[in-house]
Amino acid sequence: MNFRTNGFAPSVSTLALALGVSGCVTPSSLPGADQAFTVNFEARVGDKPAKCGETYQDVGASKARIMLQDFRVYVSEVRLLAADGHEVPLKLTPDSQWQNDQVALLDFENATGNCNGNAPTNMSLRGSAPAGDYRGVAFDISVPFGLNHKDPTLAAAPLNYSGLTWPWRIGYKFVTIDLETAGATPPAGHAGSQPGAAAGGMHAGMHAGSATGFSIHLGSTDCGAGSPTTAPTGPCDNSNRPGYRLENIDLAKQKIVLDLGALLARTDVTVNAPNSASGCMSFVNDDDCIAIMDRFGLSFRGKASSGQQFVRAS
Amino acid sequence: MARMLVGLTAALALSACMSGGDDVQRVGQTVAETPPSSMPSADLVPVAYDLGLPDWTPPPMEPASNRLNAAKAELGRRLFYDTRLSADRSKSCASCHRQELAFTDGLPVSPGITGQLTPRNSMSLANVAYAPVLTWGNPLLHTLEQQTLVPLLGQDPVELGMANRDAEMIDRLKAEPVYRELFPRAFPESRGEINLANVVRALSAFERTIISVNSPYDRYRYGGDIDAVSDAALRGEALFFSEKFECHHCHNNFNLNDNVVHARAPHPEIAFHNTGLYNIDGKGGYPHSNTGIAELTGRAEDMGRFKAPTLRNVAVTAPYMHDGSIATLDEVLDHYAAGGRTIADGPNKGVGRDNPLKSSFVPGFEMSPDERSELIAFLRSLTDEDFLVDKTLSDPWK
Repeated sequence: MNFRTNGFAPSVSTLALALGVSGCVTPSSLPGADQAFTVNFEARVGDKPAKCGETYQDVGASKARIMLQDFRVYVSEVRLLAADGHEVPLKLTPDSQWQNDQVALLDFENATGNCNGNAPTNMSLRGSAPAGDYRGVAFDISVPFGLNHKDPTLAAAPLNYSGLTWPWRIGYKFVTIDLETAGATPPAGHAGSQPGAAAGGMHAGMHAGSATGFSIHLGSTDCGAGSPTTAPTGPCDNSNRPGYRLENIDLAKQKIVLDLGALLARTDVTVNAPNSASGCMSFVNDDDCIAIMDRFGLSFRGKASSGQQFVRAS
Repeated sequence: MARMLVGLTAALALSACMSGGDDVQRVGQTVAETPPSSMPSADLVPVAYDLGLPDWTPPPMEPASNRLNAAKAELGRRLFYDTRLSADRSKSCASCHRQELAFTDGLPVSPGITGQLTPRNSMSLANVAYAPVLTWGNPLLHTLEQQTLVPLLGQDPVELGMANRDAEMIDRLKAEPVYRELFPRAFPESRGEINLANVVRALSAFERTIISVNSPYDRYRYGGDIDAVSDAALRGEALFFSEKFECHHCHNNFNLNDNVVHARAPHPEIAFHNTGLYNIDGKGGYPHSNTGIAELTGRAEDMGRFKAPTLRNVAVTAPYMHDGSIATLDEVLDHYAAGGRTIADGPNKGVGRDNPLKSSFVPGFEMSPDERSELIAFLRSLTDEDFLVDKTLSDPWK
């Protein structure tokens, strides 16, 4: 392994050098030009880091237990906040994996435990902006409309993950959170005697008809009639692109926390509204979305949000 | 750390300089820089050999240690159809992977040379080059080079039965003039040595050429030919990709599954799901021979989790599911409509709908007769008729 790893380094650096000589250099390497910035993120369930393979207690209105199956989020329209509050765009640095110049994928799952997905994770945004004293950050959770409705099976990174596509009129899930769920406490005498109980206790005490999973898929809806594999002709009625603005934070020291516990605080994840998609998949007819959309900070069924609860600074 | 910074610089420079340029080159660099922790993809590189893919199709990946070339593919094809690869010369790879059935065998489960049955259904090899994990439920089996040894040498079940007899197999191959010519052309770096490692490499190389991307649905969706599919199939497509039927959650990439790796998505996506096919003990139990990835992970909650297969050519790959226990596409729709299968009698009796380990994407749905026939029309539009008779993939000994 070391042999091969070391073996690559010279050839890669040689390539970079060759390209540099031919006139291509990264913006951050130009003297006096933009400065590189990193915005760090963290996924949590309440005050605990959100990780694959962990069981979290007391989640949501029914104090349920959950385990992650997926937790990935697209972020765009990133702006740094100057001391006087004005916004300066952070130009995302394309890296052929997590970011193109318009959208970045935050990936908090590593395919261990019950998680589906892939091993690499990404918990930061990397970009450049004019040097300055920045004291905050603003961003949207979204894939911009101009990128959102192209064929995802053919897309380049970071829009190339089939598990994050949402073929309804070809759009992306801006948020993909899939959970395994179980009720608060296994019935007495059953804990430890069932297969699930032996490995985390997720499935002890489940009864027929209850939901064993809960998904939060945030994306645009009501995008007009037509084939699901063609682009809509105009904007979707519900774009569902929440924006966030965090002031007075030290980007070098603080992280942006995405709190699944806070997002689900008013939702019972052990049941699914009748005749609706599993969990909340953004559809207007899904009662499971009422509290979740409110806490994303989105209006839903014409009712404005009472204020987002999903994003905060660490 | 220094190495990673250098790599990052290279990636940035490349993307800045090559926008709209050579995707393969760029992705190849990204893969080369993948840290060792994300093995086994780290040593995968995009296939450079011309597979004759349409422009829309992303190139598959292959191990850097086994680059595809024309001689290797031809050698692998010879071996794939050669009964000298079984102990009693009665079977070849093609016995369970028949081209006219999209490289499946039409059986629920398959007999090896002794008659012993495999526990699972022969999977289609169409586009197997894009699979980041192989077989129905083995999260550890990442390359065809690893997988090929299973049917060749496996002892439980016995398939081709060459365990402890691989030297005999090599002698048989050395006696064949075709191989004495092809091995040196395929493996000049090892002077054409005829050995097990090169047999496995050649078979894997041939399997990566088993590409199916010319179904009517491909011609419609990726080729822009609106007339390639029927109106019923288009309505079926809309149902397939709807949140009511939920099919697309696990069948969503260009191979219509959710396990994929290719040059534009070099970090593999891997998923396993329990679809409520069984619930023997009311606790989610599956038959002991087919417990899904739990067999390998040892985790109770992995009971019944299998890989979603590609739906390419699905109309010709009956019977269905990991154990071939559903005979027709109609009955597969019944299973998903019910949100899991109910077995009324026998050792596997149970209500799959209530399987506590079942995927939340299998809640069940109501389906009208029209919707059923439209979904079937869509699934039939996934059959690539050219692929089923493509002479470059057929038996070269005939």
